[in-house]
Amino acid sequence: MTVLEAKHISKIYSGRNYVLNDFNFKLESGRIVGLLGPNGCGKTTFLKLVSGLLTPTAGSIEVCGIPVSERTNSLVSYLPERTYFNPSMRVSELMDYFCDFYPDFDRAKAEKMLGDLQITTNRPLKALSKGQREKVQLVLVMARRARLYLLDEPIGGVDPASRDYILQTIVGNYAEDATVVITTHLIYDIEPVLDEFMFLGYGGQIIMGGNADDIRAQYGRSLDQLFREVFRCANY
Amino acid sequence: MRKLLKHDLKSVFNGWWISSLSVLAFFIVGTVCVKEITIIEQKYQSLLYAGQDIAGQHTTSERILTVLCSIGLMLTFVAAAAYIILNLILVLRRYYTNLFTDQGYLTFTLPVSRMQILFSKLIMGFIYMLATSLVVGIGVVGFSVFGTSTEFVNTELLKQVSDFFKEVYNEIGGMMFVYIAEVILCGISTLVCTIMFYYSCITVGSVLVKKFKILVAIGIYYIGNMVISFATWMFILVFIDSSFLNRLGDITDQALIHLSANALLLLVFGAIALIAAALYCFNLHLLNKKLNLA
Repeated sequence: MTVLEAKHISKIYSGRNYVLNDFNFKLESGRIVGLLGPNGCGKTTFLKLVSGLLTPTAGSIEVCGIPVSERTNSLVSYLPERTYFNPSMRVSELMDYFCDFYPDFDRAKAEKMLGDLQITTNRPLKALSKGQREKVQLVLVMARRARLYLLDEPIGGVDPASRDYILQTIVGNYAEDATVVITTHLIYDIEPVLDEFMFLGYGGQIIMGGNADDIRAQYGRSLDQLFREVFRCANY
Repeated sequence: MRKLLKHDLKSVFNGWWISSLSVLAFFIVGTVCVKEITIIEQKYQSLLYAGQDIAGQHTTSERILTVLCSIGLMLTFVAAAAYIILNLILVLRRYYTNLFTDQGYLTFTLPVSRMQILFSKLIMGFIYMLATSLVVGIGVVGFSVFGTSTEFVNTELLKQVSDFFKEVYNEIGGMMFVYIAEVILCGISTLVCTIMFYYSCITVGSVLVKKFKILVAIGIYYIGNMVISFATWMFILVFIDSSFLNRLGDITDQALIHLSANALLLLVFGAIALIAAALYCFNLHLLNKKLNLA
């Protein structure tokens, strides 16, 4: 089943540059997809368009056949690359918040994951370190039983040991019919969990994409090595 | 909507109730201070009426007490003003941080419409500003009733207020309640319009620029205020000229006077409500079409 379909998406900022230009993208359910590309190629912009934070200049996006709106927000679980919770709220209050707005939020799962990461729930976010705050955000997002997870740099600010746990959490906690889209620069770390990938160039141009295992077998190289070759500084 | 409102109200409540208790404490102190000053002055007023010379009659302790109580009284008024400003800032801060900072990523990805988000913020602002006004009102009434007399309660003041309303009722009968209701409606619409105006300034500032959003919002507020003042003056000059007032003065029929006054009040209420609705729609349009969280 098609979980996400973007048709002829264009997005211009401030009347100047096309961040995305006639971008087309289709995702089937039950996949973990890596959206990879250099800085400024439109990865974050695309995730924001899908989550309804931005309006496309042209084109349309549908999630499970529904045009992006507040209805699709209940199907999409979005993790931005920044701390987006009220820092004065306690972790337990954040879980109450998620319980209030998302019927698909699994509080027991969230508490278990936070316990595994040794994060106490009665502390306010501002009392936690940056890495702990990012873990809390990821746990709350992944504890939802959403159809589409959009994770923007989920492991950027955490230590290597926690990265492994987070990747296991991503793989182990999404439903079979759900889809996970991950953007990251830490391709080496994320590569083992990816089913599919897409290299995105400037303007949303799709440079390369497909099944991660097939591409590795075809080129005899890891995605990380391929990325470095494709996006060598001389080219970009 | 209820959940949005619950979280909006909860987020401001801690700051609000602490500041409310503090300002009520200041009002109690102010009431005691003004009572002390009243008692001291009343004592020397009595001597003056009895024909005695009161120059230099105040004892040192009375002078010190008067100065301290005057300072206490001044601090009470400053605290009341600061309380209103602080709570307004709390409400506006909630609006700004929840929508236009990183927290906006959470707010705008909730499964609620932008209309509901904006409406919740409006109701939150209205409830807190109304509650703030009521707290100040309670303080002022308590201050007036308990502080401005040497007796425990200023019964003379209460009698004067009661006599005023009795006189008005005798003059215009049940229309008094209609006028009161209309004034309250105008007050409510003015509060809603004011809140929407502040919100609009913040929204415009936040969507226009990436940096210095608050400064731009303040600039827009001052420009908006100037425009409103100019428009009000033009309205007064163009529509309420002396011939219009003369025509009003010619009306002798009581019923027609009440109709005119009612119509005027309802017209004011309608105009303010229309402006508030326009500002709401403008805000909503900007949130729907122009939002661009960094």
